[in-house]
Amino acid sequence: MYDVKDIMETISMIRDNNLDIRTTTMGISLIDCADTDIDKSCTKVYDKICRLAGDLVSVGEDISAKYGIPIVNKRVSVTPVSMLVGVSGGDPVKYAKALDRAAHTIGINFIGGYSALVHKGFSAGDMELIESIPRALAETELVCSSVNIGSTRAGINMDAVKKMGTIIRETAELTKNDQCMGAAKLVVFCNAVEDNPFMAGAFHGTGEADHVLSVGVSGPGVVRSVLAGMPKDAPLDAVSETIKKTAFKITRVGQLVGSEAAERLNTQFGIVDLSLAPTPAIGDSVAHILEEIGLEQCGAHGTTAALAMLNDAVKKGGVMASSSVGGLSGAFIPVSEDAGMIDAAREGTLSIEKLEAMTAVCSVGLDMIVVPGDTTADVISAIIADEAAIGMVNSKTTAVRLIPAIGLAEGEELNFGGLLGYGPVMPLRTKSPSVMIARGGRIPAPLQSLKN
Amino acid sequence: MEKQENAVLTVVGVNDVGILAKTAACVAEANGNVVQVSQIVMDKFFTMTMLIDITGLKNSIQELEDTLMKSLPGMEVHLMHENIFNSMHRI
Repeated sequence: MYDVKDIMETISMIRDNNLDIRTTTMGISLIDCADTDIDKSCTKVYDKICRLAGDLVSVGEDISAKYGIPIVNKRVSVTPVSMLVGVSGGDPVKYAKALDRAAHTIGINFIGGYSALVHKGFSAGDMELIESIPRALAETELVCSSVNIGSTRAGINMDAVKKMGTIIRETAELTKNDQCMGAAKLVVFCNAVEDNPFMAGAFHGTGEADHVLSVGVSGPGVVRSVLAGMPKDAPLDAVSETIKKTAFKITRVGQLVGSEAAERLNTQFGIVDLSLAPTPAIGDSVAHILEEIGLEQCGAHGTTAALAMLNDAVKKGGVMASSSVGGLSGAFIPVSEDAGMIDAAREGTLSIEKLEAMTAVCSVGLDMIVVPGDTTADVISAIIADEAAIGMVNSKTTAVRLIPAIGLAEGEELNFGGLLGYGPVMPLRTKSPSVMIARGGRIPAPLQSLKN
Repeated sequence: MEKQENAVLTVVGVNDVGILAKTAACVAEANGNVVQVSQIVMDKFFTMTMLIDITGLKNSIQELEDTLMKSLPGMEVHLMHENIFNSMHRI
C-alpha cells in the first residue's frame, strides 16, 4: 500500500498547487505532403494532420480522467512550412489556412510550424514564408509561427534579423484591433530546438521521426509551495536540493502521461519538456518562486542568481527522472503570462535589461513582453540581435516574442486573455541602432575555445 | 490472465456514520474489488485510503469518482490510477 503522506502530497500538488501537464504536442512531418501544386499540397497537409492527430484531444481527456491530472493543451507541431513553399511556390498563406482548418477540425488549441530556419541564409521558400507571416497570423486563429535567425555554429543572419523587426511590427499592426495578438504567436529564435512542444515556437524538426508525441509538464506552483514550507534560513544548496526532488516528481508524471498517450495514439514517445511554465493564475508563477527564495520582488538584484539556481536544479531533477528529457527544459519567464512578473513590471522593478540578463541563465528568452506602439522596426531588430548574441555565445536557445502595442504608450496595458495573459507596456531605450541594423550581413560564429 | 490494475481512493472530511459502508457499496456496485483499506479518525476528521482493483470496472474511473462524490456529499473524494503514485514516489 502507498504511504498516505505520498498520496496526499500528489493530490495536493494537483488540486492546490496547479500541477498539470501543460501540453501534449504531436509532432508531424509534412515532408511527404510536398507537391508542386500548392492546392494539392495543402489538401495532403490537412489530411495527414487529421489522420494522425484526430484522436489527440480525446486521448488527452481520457488520460486526464484516469490519473486525475489536468492536461491543459493539446497541440500539433509540423515540419517548417517554408520547405513545402520551396517545392510548391504560390501564396504561403494557403498553408496557414490549411493548418488552421486542420487544427479546428481536430479541436486542438494551437498548431505550430509556420516556420523558416534561416540562421545561415535564405533558401527557396524562406523569404516568401517570412514575408507572409503578418497576413498568415492575421487571417488564422490557431497557427503559430517561428523563425530561427542564428545558431552557435552558424552565427547570426543579420539580414534575417533586420527583416524580422519589420515583420513583427507589421504583424502587430495587422492585428491591432485584436490586442496585437498576431505578434504573440510569433517567435524569433537563436539555436531553436527541433523537439520543443511549447508554443508559439514549436515545430517538428527534420531530424525527427515521421510522427512523435511529446509532453510539456509544468508546476511553478508546486515548487513555490515546497519552498514556502522550508525555513527562511535554509542554505541555498538545501533549496536547490528541494527543487531538484520536486522537479523529479513532476517529470515522472510527464513521462507517465507521455508514454501512455503515445501508445494509445500509435506513435512513438518523443520527449518530456520539464519547463516551469507559468500562467497568469495566482499560484502558478515563476516570479513567485524567486520571491520565495528570498527576493522582495522579481527583478531585484539577485534575481539572475536565483533564476540560475532554479533553472539548473529543475534540469538536474528532470534528467534523473526521465531518459527522454528534451525541448527547452528549464524555467520560462514570459512576462504577460506570469502574475508575479506582471506585478514587477507594473511597479518598474522588472526592466527589459534585467529580463535580458535573466535570459542568459534560464531556458528561453525575452518572452511575451509588451513594448510601446511607436517602437521602430530597427529597435525590435536590435533587441533580437542582442538576445540572439546571448544564445549564440552561451550555446543555448534564446528567443524573442515582443508585442508592439500599436497605439499604446508606456503605462497602458494589453490583455490577450487566457494563458497568454496581460501585461503593461514596458519602456525601451530610444537611441537608434539603425546604422548597425542596416548593415545586414552576418555575425560570424563565435570561438568555442579560449572561453573567459 | 489480464494484468491487475489498481486505483487509489482517498476520502477526507468530517467523521460521520457509514462513510466506509457507503464507499464500499459504490465500489461494489461498479464491480471494483477492494484490495486494501486504511482508515483513521483524528479530531473528528475522517481519513481513508483504499486500494481498489479496477480491472473489471463496469465504467470509467471518472464515473466511479462522480458516483462517490454524489453519495458522500461534503467529503473530499479523489480517485486516481495507481500508476501516478508509482511514478512519482518510487524509483
